[in-house]
Amino acid sequence: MKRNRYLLPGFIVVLLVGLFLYPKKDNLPVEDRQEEAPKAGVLQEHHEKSTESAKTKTTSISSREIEVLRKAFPDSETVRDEVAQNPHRTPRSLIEFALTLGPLIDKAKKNLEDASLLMNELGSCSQDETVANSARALCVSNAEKLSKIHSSLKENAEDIQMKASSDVRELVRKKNSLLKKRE
Amino acid sequence: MKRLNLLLALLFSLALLASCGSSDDDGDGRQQQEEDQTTGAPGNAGANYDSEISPEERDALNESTSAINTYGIDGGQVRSFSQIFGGTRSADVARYFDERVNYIISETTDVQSRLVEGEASALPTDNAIFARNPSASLWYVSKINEPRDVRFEVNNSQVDITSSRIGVMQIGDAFVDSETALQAATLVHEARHSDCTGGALASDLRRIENGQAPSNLLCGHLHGECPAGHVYEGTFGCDTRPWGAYIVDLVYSLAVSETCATCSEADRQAAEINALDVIQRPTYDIEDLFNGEFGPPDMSSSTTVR
Repeated sequence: MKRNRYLLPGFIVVLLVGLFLYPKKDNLPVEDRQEEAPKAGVLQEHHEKSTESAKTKTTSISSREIEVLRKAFPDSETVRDEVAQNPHRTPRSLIEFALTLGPLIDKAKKNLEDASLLMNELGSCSQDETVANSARALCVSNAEKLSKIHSSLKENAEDIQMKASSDVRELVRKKNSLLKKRE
Repeated sequence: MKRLNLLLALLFSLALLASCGSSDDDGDGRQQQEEDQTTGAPGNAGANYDSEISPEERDALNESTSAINTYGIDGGQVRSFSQIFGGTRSADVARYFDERVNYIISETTDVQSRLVEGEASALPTDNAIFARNPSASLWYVSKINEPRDVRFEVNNSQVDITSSRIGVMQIGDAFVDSETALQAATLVHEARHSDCTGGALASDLRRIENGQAPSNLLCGHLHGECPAGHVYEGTFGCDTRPWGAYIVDLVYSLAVSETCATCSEADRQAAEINALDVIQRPTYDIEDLFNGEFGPPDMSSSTTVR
């Protein structure tokens, strides 16, 4: 029999394809999973954990993300220093704050619980006098936008706007005045 | 020769006033005059990348110019957008950019060395810039040196400098490391500095020859000093003339933050905070501007010397 040089590579390909197509554990017939069936006590514990995770799954914003957001609040002094070094472009600390906030806003737009959670932080941001006005205005603006998606948060957004300083409210108002839909 | 050296040094200092976003921290006053804005033209939109452009710069430019071309924005929702860009879509922004930016050079390129029939000046090199548009400065150099034919070398070709719309833009590290939406806004901002609206003043040519800065900031839409009481008091991070680069930047950033259907939330947030910062840069009342107190935006560029 002649030696077939494609035999080994072909075998490897078949093996890889087979591994890819092999049914996953969840799709195995019941009798194939018996070896991995958990014991009763473990089942109960698993059920409790599933219930708990089902509850926490309604808010996808984690406490860690909130912590990171709070640390990203840009203070006015830092922003002024950055402008002094680089007067022509938006200060880096403002941009970093916006980028940190972005994914959280994304989640909040899709989920009321996340929006409610984030609204508290937007309120803190907007009223913190050490935070740069541009960032505070961004917080007020986002509160307004979230309340338009989740109408139950309307009062929260109005409260945030009312409690912001006049400079911050003015900044948001000017920005909104340039948008035709809001005129 | 000495005079030309001094002239070139002064003119490139003026270019800094038209540039935006330098992160050079040597505190030299000339840095404040420097215009650091990087706007890049995507190769596919017509601008030529110089041979010294690095791969990283090329990638950043391609991405940001692609964003300008493809962002799903509706400028119809932002006041004066169509007056500035000639329409309400990304294609209009791309065209606006293409009319003003023809060549993009690297941060590492010595702009002065690219002047043909011009002498290298003593202007210091910035450590890191966002972007710079020396187009108006180049045109001033050419006017002052007439009848000598001052040209600019890019990609081993010599280009005539017939107007400020020669559109030479220089990018830097800060641009490369920035987010796409901000890169796009920077490009749009920078392009405005190629407009010499209303033409140049003959008196300014004499001022420049005497080592003084031009008085007419509309030619190149140069930035000015932020006044006392301003949040950025004492820096050259303001616009003192209407419809300058910051306003163009603002209008575009608002379109991205408020209407972009194809942008990420991070990009929209970055664009919005950019808008909230930039809205504070003009030293005049923004609402007066958009209410027509200063007339409509003049997006033209002139080669008149009056």
